Amino acid sequence: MTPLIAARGLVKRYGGRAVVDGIDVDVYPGEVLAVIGPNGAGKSTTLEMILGLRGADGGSVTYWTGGPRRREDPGRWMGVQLQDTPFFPGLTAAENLQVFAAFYGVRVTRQRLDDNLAACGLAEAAHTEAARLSGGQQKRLAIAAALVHQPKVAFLDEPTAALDPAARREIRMLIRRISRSGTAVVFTSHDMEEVEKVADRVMFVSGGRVRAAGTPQALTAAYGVADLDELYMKLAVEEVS
Amino acid sequence: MVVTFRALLAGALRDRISLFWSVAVPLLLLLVLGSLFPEPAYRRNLVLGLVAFGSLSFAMSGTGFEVMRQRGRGVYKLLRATPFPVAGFVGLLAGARGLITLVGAMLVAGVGSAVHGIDWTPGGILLALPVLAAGTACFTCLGFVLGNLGDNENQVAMYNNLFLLPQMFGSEMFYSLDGAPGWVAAVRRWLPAGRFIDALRAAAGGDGAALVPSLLVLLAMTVLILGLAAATFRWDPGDRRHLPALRRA
Repeated sequence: MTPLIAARGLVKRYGGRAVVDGIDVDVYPGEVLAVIGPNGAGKSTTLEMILGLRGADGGSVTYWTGGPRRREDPGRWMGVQLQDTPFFPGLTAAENLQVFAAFYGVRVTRQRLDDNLAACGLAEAAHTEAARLSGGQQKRLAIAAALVHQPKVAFLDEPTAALDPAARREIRMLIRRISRSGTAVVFTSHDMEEVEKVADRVMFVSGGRVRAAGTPQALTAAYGVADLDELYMKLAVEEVS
Repeated sequence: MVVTFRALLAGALRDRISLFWSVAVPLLLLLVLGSLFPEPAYRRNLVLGLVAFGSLSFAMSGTGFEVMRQRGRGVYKLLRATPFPVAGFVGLLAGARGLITLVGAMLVAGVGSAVHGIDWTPGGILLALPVLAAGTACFTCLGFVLGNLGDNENQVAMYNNLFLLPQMFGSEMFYSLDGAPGWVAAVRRWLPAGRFIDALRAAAGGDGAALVPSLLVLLAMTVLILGLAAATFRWDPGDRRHLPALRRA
């Protein structure tokens, strides 16, 4: 299968120190790829380089172009939810979504807007000012904004960070639904239970490098551990020592 | 573009604090100061000074806080990941806030003229329009600089005082500076609000020739401040604060 995104040897340095040091990433259609690792491992920087938000000091990223003679702008088929929850404070959830659709060059009908909000569990909050939404609702609005143009890949940077268990569960279900609709999801997380439940593939990043990659089952089997939580601790300890 | 402009316009119209300072406060001051000092010449200058105060409040202070909030929320960072041109977005934001500033200025001018019996000739109104537009553009650019310098509400509030207070008290907004020391008059010439008020007074008097020098200086200041706004622009709060583009060069 041809990947939608193929990043090779990505490097990012700050002050001479490589925070990303030769990372390869492939993203395939419809898959859920979890990028895990300790704080400062280079996960978000890697995603931001793929998204073009940060320039890379080395390596390359090849994007799906829509065919041999086509040059589709990857910005049109990639959706992004950053760690911040970007929205316009004075606007309602529905108005925000409309603006984000315009950013991606898509004109959404009222029906599609409602469907999108409903899919993210925000139907009743459609006319609430975005700034007044709860933390979980704001995250879901940010995810809805990343999906409003029906992208081929959605990048979710710590979508469940600082959420309560119920909100985390809702986001997990949402990621599954997105994936079932054919959109690939790349997300970063520190919650190994969540990763185990939703990810098709896992990439453990530490010290700016990929330390392990594979399906959750293959990784736990290869490292002789019971679950991803144990694997995370084992790899993190190996990294420190 | 239309959807984005409409949304930014709606957001700006819901910016109650900016509207309070740019419309409600000038209208209140018009009534209070106009009643306390009934001389026609003072009232005339007061109306024009309050038009400048309202414009400065919405276009500069309001834009400054809005830019800081949007950057802090990660809107600019996210924009870079979309096909939407950031320059276009900034233009639409400036346009939306500029339009409301213009309408607010006309409202204050209209009410002030009606209450204090100031007659505007059709020629004077025509001359005032480019002055209002130039002032709005200049103050909006100042607002971007303000928003670029501050990382949070407190910092922007501090920089706002630094930008606003000298222009409030050094530009003849509320009183004449005829008796002030020479250095005050010299400083006044370098304040955008001072030039704006001079041009507005010339326009109100229907004196096109007197308007031109102040308008040209105001436009030159606008270009300079626009350059400063572009040089200090930051995509996200983590970027370097001061003149990142110039430093890279």
